[in-house]
Amino acid sequence: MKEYEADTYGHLHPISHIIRQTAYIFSQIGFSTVSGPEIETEYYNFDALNIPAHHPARDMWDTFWLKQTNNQQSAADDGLAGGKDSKSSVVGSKLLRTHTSPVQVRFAEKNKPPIRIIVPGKTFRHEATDATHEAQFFQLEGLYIDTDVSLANLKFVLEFYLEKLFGSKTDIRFRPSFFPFVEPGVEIDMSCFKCGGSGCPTCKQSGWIEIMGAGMVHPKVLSNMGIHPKRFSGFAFGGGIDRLAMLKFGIGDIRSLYTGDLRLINQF
Amino acid sequence: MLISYKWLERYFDEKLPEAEKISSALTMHSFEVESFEAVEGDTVFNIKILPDRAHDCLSHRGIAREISVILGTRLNKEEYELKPLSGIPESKKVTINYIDQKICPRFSALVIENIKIKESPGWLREILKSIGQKSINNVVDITNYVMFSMGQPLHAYDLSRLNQKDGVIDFGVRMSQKGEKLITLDGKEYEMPGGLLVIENEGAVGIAGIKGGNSSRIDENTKSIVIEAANFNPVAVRKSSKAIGLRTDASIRFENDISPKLTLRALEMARGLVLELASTKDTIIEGFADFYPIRRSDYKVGVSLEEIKKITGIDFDDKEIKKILDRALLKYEVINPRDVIVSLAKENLGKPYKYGASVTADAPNAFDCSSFISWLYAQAGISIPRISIDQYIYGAEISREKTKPGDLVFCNTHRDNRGVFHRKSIEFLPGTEVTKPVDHDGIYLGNGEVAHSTEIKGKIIVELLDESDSFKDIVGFRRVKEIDKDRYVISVPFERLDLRQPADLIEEIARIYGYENIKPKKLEETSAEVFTDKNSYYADLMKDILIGEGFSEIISYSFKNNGKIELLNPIASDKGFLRADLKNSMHDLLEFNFSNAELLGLTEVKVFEVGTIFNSKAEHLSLAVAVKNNEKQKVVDEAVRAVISKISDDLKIDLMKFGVIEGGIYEGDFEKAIKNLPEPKEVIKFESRPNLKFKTPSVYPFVLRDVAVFVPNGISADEVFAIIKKEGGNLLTRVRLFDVFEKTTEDGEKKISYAFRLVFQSQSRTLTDEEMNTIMERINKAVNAKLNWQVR
Repeated sequence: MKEYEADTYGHLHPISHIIRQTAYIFSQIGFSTVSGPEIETEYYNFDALNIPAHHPARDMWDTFWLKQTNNQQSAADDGLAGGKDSKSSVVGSKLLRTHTSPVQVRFAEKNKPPIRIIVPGKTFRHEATDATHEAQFFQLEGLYIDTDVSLANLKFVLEFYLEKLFGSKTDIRFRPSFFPFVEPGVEIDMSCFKCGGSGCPTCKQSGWIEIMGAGMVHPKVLSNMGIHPKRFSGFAFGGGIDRLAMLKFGIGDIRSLYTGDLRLINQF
Repeated sequence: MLISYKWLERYFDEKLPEAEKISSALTMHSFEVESFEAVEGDTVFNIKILPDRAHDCLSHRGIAREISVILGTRLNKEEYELKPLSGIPESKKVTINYIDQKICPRFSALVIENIKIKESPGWLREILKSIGQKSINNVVDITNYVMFSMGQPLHAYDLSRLNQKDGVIDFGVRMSQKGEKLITLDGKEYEMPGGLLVIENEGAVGIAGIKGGNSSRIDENTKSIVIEAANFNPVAVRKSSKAIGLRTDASIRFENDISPKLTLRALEMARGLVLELASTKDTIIEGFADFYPIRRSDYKVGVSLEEIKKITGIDFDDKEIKKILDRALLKYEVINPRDVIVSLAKENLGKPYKYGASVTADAPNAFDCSSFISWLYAQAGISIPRISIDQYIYGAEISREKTKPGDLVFCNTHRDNRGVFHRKSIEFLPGTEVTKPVDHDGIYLGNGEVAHSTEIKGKIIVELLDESDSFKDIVGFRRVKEIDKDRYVISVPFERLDLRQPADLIEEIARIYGYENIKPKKLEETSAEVFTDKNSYYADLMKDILIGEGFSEIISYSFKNNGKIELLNPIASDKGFLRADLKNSMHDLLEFNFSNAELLGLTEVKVFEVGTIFNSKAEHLSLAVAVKNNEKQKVVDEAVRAVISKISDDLKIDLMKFGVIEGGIYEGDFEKAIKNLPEPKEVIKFESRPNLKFKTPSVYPFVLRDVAVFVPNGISADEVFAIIKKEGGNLLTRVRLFDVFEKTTEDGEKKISYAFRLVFQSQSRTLTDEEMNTIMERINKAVNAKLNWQVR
């Protein structure tokens, strides 16, 4: 196309761009891509992931709850909500998933290890919006369960992925963190793809960019998935696709991704 | 939490490393130090304590411990070790009566008489000030000082202002009645909802674990005090706190759960400080009261070298692990699980049977069959499930011949008195079923003998398996995998409620050792087929078709001002529902983007969205495709229909069957449309264009100008464009050739007309007519300067 000809090409949204590239990169090391519902039960979004009701850890996920019909409400009040027995016919509180982890639980319930999946998808959090926060955004999560999985494997996988995604040599750094569904739990920093670690505005002069949360799947979560925690181990990771897109493409405002503005989309 | 450097110094014998060093050490090994800054004569850290460390690290003592563990700085034992209150008589003035231990596992109180309330000394005022706490008076400051030192909230009451009955002040903890009123210390009146945890003393005198009441407050006239150190149920405090919208330093600590063993230690520390800072010659420690009906036993947790290596991927050896555990101030022993289990089983013969006995509270005084086994294994540092059936599922099957002392025997007693024959896992692996029900188990001791806690005999006995009534119907023998490897069994420090299972210990070891020591390790090769889920796969194929046809993908908001599913807590009143279609948002987007068409170099706007929509029964993936141009509606609809047909043909589906075209927009149920397509068995290849970088669009308006140029035959559009581009300068954002025609002049010469549309825009200002005219004159001049070129 010449510069003075009309633009007759279509353009893929930058979020889809990252998801497609991510799926392809992970497919090279044996990971499949799965998806699941955006409306979830309290059980799959929280309880199954070792985030019990009334636990302070729940504060980590500000949640959108759905208005219930009267029948549902009384069932929840009777304490029927969420519990394990209600797994197949949950009558408890419904919510908008705050992460795509419920999809992993659903997948692991139906499939035996080894499991290698990534789960990109739209998620929701009840947060005030600004240039870096949105009430809706896309999350990328991954799960690997096998007989002999370690933090060292996690480091390999994330280095492999981020290096290919950002197209430059990348180091990964773990820092102690806490998420109820993993133990040990770590924060993932990647070496800055812009300056290579010497310090620049993108990495706020630190040389590192905080990119994901991760860890070894908590034995209780494996057990909730129906997987014997002594025979299998696994890692899980999760981070924002919006953030990856913003970093990779230099997009400054997360909200601009959802306005349908072709001045943004048609650049991709 | 705010942490004072000066305060930390009190916990060390040695000089504390510099703030910078502490900050990075904590961030890489414990939790994130968000910032540290110098304040008057001190340095204050702002530390983001992780939720699993809130039990022990919402305190200066906890942070001091971390620093010592990571940086090796020697602790001052005197200051660090916490002694419980001792040698004090039971109080004659304060009693603690009715309390449900479920909502308040422990309530301790100390009575001190004849003290003097006054201003705190300078050091105390200053140290509280550096972490943002206002000084009130010596006693109140002492309670705060103890809390920020060791994490146990305290509350001080004026003894004379509490209600007495027969000369005795009686405390309780209960749930509030709806409508009860209480004025808190800050003078605020609360009309309480029902179910709030309150301190009872002939009426509510405080909101338990959150804020004290005004009626028994300490002031300058106070002579005698009661100091409360309690342990409230975390959920109860959290619910209370949410119900009245009040979070305090105390409630944050209670809702994160703290050890009940802290109460007497906090009172001991408070006692010392009151004597130091508030005593008179008549001061006496009158006595203490302590309600603690169910004592929490000490916790043991174990892990093997093999487990640590397996999860971390670090090639540790025994020496290194021992070094780390020593550094971590964790007391441990290395044991052989089989030996410990067998010898402890024998030691506990004769202990009484109690159905539903608790492993943490009743053991080792009473057991039921499975609590006995669970407890024995716990002593060997192996955590196994609590219930027989789960223990059966947890262990690996072995034959009777291979069974060794310490392994497990499971049976069905056929005594149906409680209906507890289980075929299904209760807690361990939900959904897992076994063929034969299990209701009882025991420990094999060798020589055909089994030790078990039996309801029939009412105690733990040893019997020959073949002669036991209980074990007539043996369901199977099981071995717990960990039993044959030596384990490091740690006696968990009482305040470390986060160390409960092997994974917790592995984390503790790995983070202290340093995550930077983990080297990336490749995954094992897999021959398993890689796939994409059906919705994503066919959506991607379809997106590629649409993009090939000139359509751009949009992703819009799921929140709308109307729909079928309503949110309980919307983020804004116009975002109260989940979208029931895509087309409504698309309509507005078309208008907006069409107004920018020239800027984008478009003659029409063509967009699509694939996204989840919600109707009252379920959610599904919807597809919307739209075109907007200046053509008639019918023509527009036909353009949409054409692309829908193309997708349908290419994917072998029938989109029109599951959707409609209306006003230039198609919307249909994509999930239904692809329902009969085969499950995908691949991931579509996708490579990113290199150096794809986003340029933020200007917020200033763009300006359009057309220029048409007559040039001699043979001159290409490229040549004309080159001049326009050069002369247009930086403000020329886009150029589009919109008309070309040939004309033969009267003298027979062939000429070509190229008409360009020029889009000008500045990143920093609105363009004026004047500057536009200047630019256009420059372009015209440059064009006209060419031989036989002419601006029309």
